[in-house]
Amino acid sequence: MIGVIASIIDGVLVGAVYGLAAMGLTLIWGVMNVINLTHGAMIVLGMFALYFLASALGLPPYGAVPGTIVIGFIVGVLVYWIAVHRVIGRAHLMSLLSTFAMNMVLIGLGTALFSTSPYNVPVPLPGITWRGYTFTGTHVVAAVLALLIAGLLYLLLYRTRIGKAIRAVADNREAAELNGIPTTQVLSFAFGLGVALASVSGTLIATLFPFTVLSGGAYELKSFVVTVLGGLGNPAGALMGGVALGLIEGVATPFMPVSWTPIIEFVLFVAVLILFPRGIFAFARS
Amino acid sequence: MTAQERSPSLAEAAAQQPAEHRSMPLWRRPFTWLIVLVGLAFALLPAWGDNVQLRESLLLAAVYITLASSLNIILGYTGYVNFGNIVFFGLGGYICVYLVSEWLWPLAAAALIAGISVSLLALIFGLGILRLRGAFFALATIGVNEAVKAFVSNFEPWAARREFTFRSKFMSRSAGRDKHGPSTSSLLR
Repeated sequence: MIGVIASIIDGVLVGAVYGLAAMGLTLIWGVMNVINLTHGAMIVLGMFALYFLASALGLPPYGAVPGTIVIGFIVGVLVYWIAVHRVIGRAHLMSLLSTFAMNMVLIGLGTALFSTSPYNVPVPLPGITWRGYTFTGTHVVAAVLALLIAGLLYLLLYRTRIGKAIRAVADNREAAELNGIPTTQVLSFAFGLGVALASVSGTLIATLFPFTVLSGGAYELKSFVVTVLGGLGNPAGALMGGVALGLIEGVATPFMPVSWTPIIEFVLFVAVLILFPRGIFAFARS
Repeated sequence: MTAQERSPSLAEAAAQQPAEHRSMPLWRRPFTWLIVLVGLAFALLPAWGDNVQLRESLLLAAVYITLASSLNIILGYTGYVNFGNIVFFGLGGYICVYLVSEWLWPLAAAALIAGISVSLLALIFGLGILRLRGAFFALATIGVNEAVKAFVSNFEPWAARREFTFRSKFMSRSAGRDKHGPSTSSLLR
């Protein structure tokens, strides 16, 4: 029984990081109605940013976190101007295809530069032992950092002018433009912010597990599940959805082979999409 | 943002084609002759010599043409963004090869049954997720895609032995040519 509870707690810890990744995806959807298929590549960007900041510059792993946020933001703004700006407000197929193509370009570039062999960032951190069960220290720190960054995002969105502008543009772009908000700049800022969240969550994931250039895909899919659980375009719901997904993984892991959990996740995903298209935490919005 | 209102679907765009183009007899449209030409090339080129590589490339090209046509129907005509289309491609292949290699069905019958059963499956999926629109539908098809992928790699009869080999009478000529891997008989019990 202790083992099951411990597994659930561990799942929730990792789930908070998934929630952070999904917040980036859901922010971009909520502000500009674009499903960012470069999300997985941006998670990988964060992983490799950590790897190079930690190994080349010799920074401590958690000291590199602000750096990966900045790198993610810059890359996000670039991707916005290259691939997203022209397709905003057009059919969903356009933005899906353009971000999908961008994703292929980035993954191809990453494969050419770093090959697909696994990388690892060693984080020396003692675990926390509780009734004979040890929680990995990195999982605890990653979850705390994820919650911290989510809190900072909340402050940015609800306590600053730029956050107010982002919410205004998400609500009604024409009206925001009429009120003198430079909506295009705000959109590029919001996209950069979403990508920065994906990137920093990639950094946190890289402190937990080894990674390759191709591991973004799996986390992108988890982000989709989490986003849908929390309701598309609802950052607070995304964090709760991430914790819920972690909970499901934690409950399922002791009882079945790990390779079966994706089936549960995605059946749940499709069921939630059909039954609760606004997410199971829709109440959190009102 | 009202993306849907501004973008005419592809079906609407097709309806806006000039009327005389649609009423033109089939043999006067240049595209008809292009299709006939390509079809003839596919039919006749393999007969020239015994170029196995050319034959295989043409076969692959024909598969891609069929696959693109299927995507064109769902994505082009109905306007649904479908990332799960490849699911039915893969499942059809698995069912067909399973019937041929394990139950020793003739290839034509196996292909037919595989096609029908996968269509039925698509009907069931469609009844559920075609109610969703736009990005929600696209996300749901990503979910179907991943769920089926995870299912196939865990499903014992298919995953336990990833490499199927044809051993029906129908395919015996090519089975003997297999250069890599264990021989047909050793692979199947």
